[in-house]
Amino acid sequence: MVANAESIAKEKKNRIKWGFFWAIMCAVLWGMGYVPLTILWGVDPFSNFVWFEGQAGYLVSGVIIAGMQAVVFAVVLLLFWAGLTGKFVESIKTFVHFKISKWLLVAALFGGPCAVFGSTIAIGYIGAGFASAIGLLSAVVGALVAKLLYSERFSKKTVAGILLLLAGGFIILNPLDMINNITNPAAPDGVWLGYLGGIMSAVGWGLEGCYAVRALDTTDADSSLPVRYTWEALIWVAILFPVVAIIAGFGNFYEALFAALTSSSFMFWMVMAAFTLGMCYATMYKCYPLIGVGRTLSLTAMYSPIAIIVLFVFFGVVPAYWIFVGAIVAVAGMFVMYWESDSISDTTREEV
Amino acid sequence: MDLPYKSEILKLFKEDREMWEYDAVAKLMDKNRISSDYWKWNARFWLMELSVAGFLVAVDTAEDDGAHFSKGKVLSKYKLTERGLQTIETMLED
Repeated sequence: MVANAESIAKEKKNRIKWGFFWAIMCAVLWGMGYVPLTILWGVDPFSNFVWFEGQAGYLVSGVIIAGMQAVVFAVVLLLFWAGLTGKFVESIKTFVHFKISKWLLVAALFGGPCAVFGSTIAIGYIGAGFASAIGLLSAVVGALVAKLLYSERFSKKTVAGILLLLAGGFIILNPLDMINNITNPAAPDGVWLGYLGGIMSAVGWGLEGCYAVRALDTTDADSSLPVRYTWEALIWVAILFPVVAIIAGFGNFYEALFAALTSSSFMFWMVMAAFTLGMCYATMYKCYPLIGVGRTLSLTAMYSPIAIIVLFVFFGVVPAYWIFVGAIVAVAGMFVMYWESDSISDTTREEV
Repeated sequence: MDLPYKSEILKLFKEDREMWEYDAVAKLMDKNRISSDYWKWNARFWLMELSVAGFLVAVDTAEDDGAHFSKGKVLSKYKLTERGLQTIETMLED
């Protein structure tokens, strides 16, 4: 009996529905993740960072926090998520086959040292509200690169959406205020690094998605994620930590790292970050094959207003009004870009 | 070490270019000696993901009378695409 058009449409709608569900879950978890990420800067040992001062202090703190994030996420996701979904062995298989695994390594490079570190620096130098809002620009990067690499479909709405997104980004950065901040002698040293970090996070997250999908094409989402984090953890521990230690002073760096590892409040909040930000990645990776990188990033954009609200609820932090306005404009841009669920076709890429 | 299951099920299409999804799933499960419902549904999902990625294309459909997955589900007959074959040859073979 040939399936009727109705059943087929129903299954497609179902697939889209699940894609949207995972994307919203991702946005909520990601937004909530900014709470532990902010707290990490305020607990032992970073609340009283004795090993380095000023700018160096901020940067080394950023390295340790971002690096530890990768390690803790890798462990939590491998044991908790891969374990829970019964895909522990699948993760190992994915890791071992380098032709698949290498794409997750590339994704990890962009997602970790580029995006997460950039975001961490932005949080430390400027604030979580700014960091969350500027990350939204990753959708522009993701959409453009996906277009180049995979001919992901674009439309007039997409272009309009991108322009709105860029407008939102412009508002968030607030150039007048930014120039003021950078040139003001009373501002903390190197605040421009916070802005640079924000840009790095946008570029990193956009590119990460485009490369992760190459692996996701051939392996399961639940298995891919622990592999991506394992690569990132290896990059930090085996390469970046030693490099930074050599530059900043070996003994001091590893003393600071040890202090972080042995600080129970730090480790607690890092695990909390793993269960929010780390888990949001799990939902995001499930989304990419269902509705494509561009659409996923657009829906998960809701993380920014959610982050701003959550930061207000937990810390009473009211971000500068332009950050809120810019975030709303950017999110609107993303919805314009991708809100064409009826015309979502059967594949997310052009026919060969 | 074996490839991940999702890669293996794609590879099956290199020998048999066109297969009904339940046949592909059954072959995968036989080959790997797995039998749970959980993996059966996962495999079906992977086939759908593979077709969204453009590696497989559905060339026929039928309605499940309950014998394969569950009543009312759409059964698809998948065919390997050029892109799918390329992916197998570049990523999944030594």
